[in-house]
Amino acid sequence: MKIDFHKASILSFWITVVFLILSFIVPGNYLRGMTAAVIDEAEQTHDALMQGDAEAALEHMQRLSGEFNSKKDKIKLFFNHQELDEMEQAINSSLDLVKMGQGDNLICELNRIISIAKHMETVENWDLSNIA
Amino acid sequence: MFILFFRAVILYLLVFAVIRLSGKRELTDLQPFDLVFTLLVADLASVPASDSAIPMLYGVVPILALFLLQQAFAYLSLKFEGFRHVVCGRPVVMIAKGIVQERALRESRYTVNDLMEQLRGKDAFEISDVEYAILETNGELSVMLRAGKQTLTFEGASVPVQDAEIPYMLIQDGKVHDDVLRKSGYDKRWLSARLKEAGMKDAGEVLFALLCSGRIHIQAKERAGSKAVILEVCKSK
Repeated sequence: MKIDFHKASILSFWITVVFLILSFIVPGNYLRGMTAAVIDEAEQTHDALMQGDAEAALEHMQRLSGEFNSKKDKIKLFFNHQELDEMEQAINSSLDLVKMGQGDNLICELNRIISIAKHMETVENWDLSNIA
Repeated sequence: MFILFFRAVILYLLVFAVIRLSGKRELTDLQPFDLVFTLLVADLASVPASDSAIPMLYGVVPILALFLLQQAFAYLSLKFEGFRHVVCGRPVVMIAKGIVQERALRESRYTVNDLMEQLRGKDAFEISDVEYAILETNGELSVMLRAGKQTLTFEGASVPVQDAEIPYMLIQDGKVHDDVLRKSGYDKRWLSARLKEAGMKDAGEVLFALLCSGRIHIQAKERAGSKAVILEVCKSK
């Protein structure tokens, strides 16, 4: 089979352009979708705890965990694995704490989840601090 | 561990494809933008290949970005002379009519020793033997010797010679190259007649058969006695 490398080179150039444009848009949006849902659920868990509604807190935590787990593998394709592992650890320990009813420790863990999620969001932001 | 192996395979294939598609310039004559590309690509691929905590895309996206830039630079330098001069520079005449150009040496950050070293690499051991020396944009020094020091050619000596012909590898490792045979203007019948003439049963016994300048050089494989035969080929096909 003979390959015309000039044509292959032009074709690969345009495939690369399309791939790069998609890589600028898709991963960032996907990540932001996940972090927004995680932050939202974490805040709702926090509110439920403040109102003393342990059942609602557990429900929100389970939704948060489900949201994270459903997207984790895809996000691993383009995001630092260590940070995702850290987030997973925090979510698992929060789930344990909400089941055990340890509100104070749970609030600390929820804050950790929110701060990791906010940091993950900023990594894909187009700003000078990320370029530097 | 299999993950690391698999990632290395993917990155190897990607880097191989990118370098292959960038053209052969990378391997032989590196312009500055080619050099930057080649240096960076290898480094970018090595990080995600050895650390499974880093996503593959962290290596893939920068490699593709460099590929894009390299292709764009190569295209622009091909199309626009001004751009080519900016990114590749211009050839610099270092010796003109036997005189070393001091300003050119200074501008190219060359010492006389550097120049002598390059000249020796071109078999010119004395500056006085050189008529012109030009520093090309890829860093190579092209040397034109004085008329009296140039190699005598057949044309210079007015000796009649046959036109050079491209060599045709008709058989390699027992396999007949049909397309080469066709290009050479002969056919399989002619080839098997030559093999019989050389005392070989078929192409399977032949290590190589090379047709060049009206002669066919056939060598048998070791198991067929490693016999080498050179046959004159009739020019009328």
